[in-house]
Amino acid sequence: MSIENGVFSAEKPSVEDSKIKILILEDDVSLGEALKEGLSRVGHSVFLVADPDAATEVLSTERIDILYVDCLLPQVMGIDYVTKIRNEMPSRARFKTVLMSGIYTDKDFISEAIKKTQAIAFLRKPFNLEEAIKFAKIDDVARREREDIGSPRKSLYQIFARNVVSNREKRKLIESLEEVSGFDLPFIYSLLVETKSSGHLNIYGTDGNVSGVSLSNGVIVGVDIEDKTTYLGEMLIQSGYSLPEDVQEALNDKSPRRLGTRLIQANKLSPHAFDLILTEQMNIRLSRTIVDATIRINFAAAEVEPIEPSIDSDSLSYFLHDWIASKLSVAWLKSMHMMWGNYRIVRSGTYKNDHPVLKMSLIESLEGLTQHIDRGVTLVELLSQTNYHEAAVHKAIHFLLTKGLIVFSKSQTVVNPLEQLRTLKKIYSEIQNKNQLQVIEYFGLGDETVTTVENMVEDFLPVLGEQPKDTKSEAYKLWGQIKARVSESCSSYLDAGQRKQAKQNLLKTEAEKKLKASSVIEEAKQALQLNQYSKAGNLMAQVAELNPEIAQFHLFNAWTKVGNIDNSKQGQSLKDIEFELMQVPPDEKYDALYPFVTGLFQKAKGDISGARKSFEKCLALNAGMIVARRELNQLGSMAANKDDILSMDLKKMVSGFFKKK
Amino acid sequence: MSKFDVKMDKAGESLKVNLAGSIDEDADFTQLSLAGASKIEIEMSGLKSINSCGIREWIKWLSTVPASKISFNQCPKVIVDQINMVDGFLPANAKVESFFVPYYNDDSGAEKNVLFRYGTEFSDSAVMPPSDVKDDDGNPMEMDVIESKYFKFIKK
Repeated sequence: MSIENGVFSAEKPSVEDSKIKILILEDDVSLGEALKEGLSRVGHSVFLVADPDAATEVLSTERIDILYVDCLLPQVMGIDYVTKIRNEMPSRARFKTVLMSGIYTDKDFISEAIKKTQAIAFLRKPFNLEEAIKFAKIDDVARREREDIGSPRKSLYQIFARNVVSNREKRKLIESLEEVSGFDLPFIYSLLVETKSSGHLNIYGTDGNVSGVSLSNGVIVGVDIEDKTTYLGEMLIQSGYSLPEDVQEALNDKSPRRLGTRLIQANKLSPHAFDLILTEQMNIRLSRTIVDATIRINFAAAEVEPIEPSIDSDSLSYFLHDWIASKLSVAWLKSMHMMWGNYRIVRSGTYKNDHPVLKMSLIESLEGLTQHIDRGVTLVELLSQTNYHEAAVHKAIHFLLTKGLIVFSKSQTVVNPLEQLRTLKKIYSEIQNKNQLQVIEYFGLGDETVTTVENMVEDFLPVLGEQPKDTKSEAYKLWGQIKARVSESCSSYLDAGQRKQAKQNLLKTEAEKKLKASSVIEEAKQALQLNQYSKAGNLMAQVAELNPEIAQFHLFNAWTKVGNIDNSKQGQSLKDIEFELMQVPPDEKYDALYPFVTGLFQKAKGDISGARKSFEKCLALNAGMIVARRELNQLGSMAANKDDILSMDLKKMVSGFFKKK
Repeated sequence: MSKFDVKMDKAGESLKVNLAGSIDEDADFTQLSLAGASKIEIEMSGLKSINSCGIREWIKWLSTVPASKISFNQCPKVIVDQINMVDGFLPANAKVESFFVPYYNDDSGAEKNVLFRYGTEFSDSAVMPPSDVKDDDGNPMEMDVIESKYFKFIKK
């Protein structure tokens, strides 16, 4: 090996490059030392070992980026060692390999060795040190995985911190996501729309289904899902654009023309109103992709023609609002936000005080939220506000994050000791009854790119804040207990056998809970039909514990809450009910139950005219709904206040032009 | 937007299919009968995009092919991504003969697609990338894909 003029003249790597971890497996001590010296001098972190056992030890504790390995080792061929590690420890074998040999220099051998080990280079000894160092490079994604910014998923949610996001950056970011949750999709849709993307986002479910969303210059122009249920009839009736009998008549028409075309040609529906309904149908289809399941995604930029109906950034804001309010579970949001608890929430470049998104219900339901954001509040601080509902905070913040109006600051704030103690107590109590897998999910640690307990714990520690200094304090004790619990859960999680067992146990428990929730919600329904609101309240509380994601949960919960309104706290009760209705998923809004419960809420607010219309809509969708007829009869004596066109809001007035009487 | 375009050239039992444009809901595969050919070569360098409807149509189309030997040639990145993501996109009787790999230069922003050929740049179990890929100005370029994901199909 030669060192020219005694100077290591390889180009000095950037700061990011300097974080590369290299393992040298070389039994020739002097060569190993020289290589280590050279690589260390240019800023890399280098481990030198002389035998395979020691190398395996390093690989099991460190996330190695590049392995320099001698082909002829004392106990085993270097090539066989690399192959063995790739087979036996695939999660720890994501390193690039550089092979070295002074004996095996035959062309065929080299070619075969490179194929077998997927090596990026083969160095013939003696080699020039410069030549050896130039292979100590890793790609952007691998680098980002080890930077403070953390996993690719964390990078995704910080993307709006950049002023400009190129197509390449978007593609690389989406590509770097190994797997995501269906709950990540609102953010991905927003990212593609806000960055004016054109192309196709393909979504692959674990069941083999493929769905897709097509975009033309930041406008969603096509949504393709396997379940083609249209809801068109229900939507036309509920929106008031068509009469039930007209829809029925069109449905009875056996011609191959589509329902909308039949109604338009019969002059029973305006083409513009039909476009609005088709947009709403896209909303429902998009909302169906937002599921609590693992998916994979792929975005390919392509020219896509702009067509109507479509969803632009403004319309998407409303849909995002509804999806985040209704589809994303609080447990997922809590876990997702866990890593940012102590980071300041800061305005992005697109945040404006008069941004229409700030006027939407999720944001307005939290009084003073924008002022808190202005002064750089953390999520933990927001959650400690006594007048804020935990679910509402998570949903509102996620909505703003999804719209790209806020980002989290780059570094954590110094946490006040009292606040830290409060947070630690809360976390401790919340993880107490969780099993190891649930602990991992609670802290959002199930990222498959993280492969060591040390790295997992490193990812989670920011959640707890710095270790308290006073070793006798309660905070110190709790901090240690939580860390120990998480470490234990991480090692169990990284053990494939234990993880599988824990997953099976969890699935079994969840299935039992879901089953129980179904029977309890049935009981609650019966209680509601009989106006037994207190009983329904107890039953719905049980359902909330067992499975808050059960279909129609928020509708029945809202109904229950209307029945249990405490007159002394009417304002708060009405706010709670409004929040329940906000959480009703889009497809449940076309069930007769939605206008019925909305009617009850309007009646409770004193909006008799609105209530009457809602009950009528309900009966139009389901004429056999006795409770709605009963409510309508009760309203009978009250005069329905006619809408005065001068005091009507503009949206209502415009949509009124297209409605059938 | 480029429309789906197909050219078929049959010589005896061999069939060469040249696909170009976008594979989407408007791409009509029903007219593309592959029956009777024992060797099918599908050339794809002109393909620009594929959406979810296109993926379903593609799988349906190729599943109708009898036990012919199919080769995929000059697959662009959009196709390689589907091969890696979707079971059945590359049928069991099909083999990738060549595919494009995007390269990038960080400083100049130059992008280039480099063709990897079976037996030269890749084999049944390994990838042997060209050692020196340069842009038009002679600057070195790096592979612009996540190798573990992009080359997954090679080890399928």
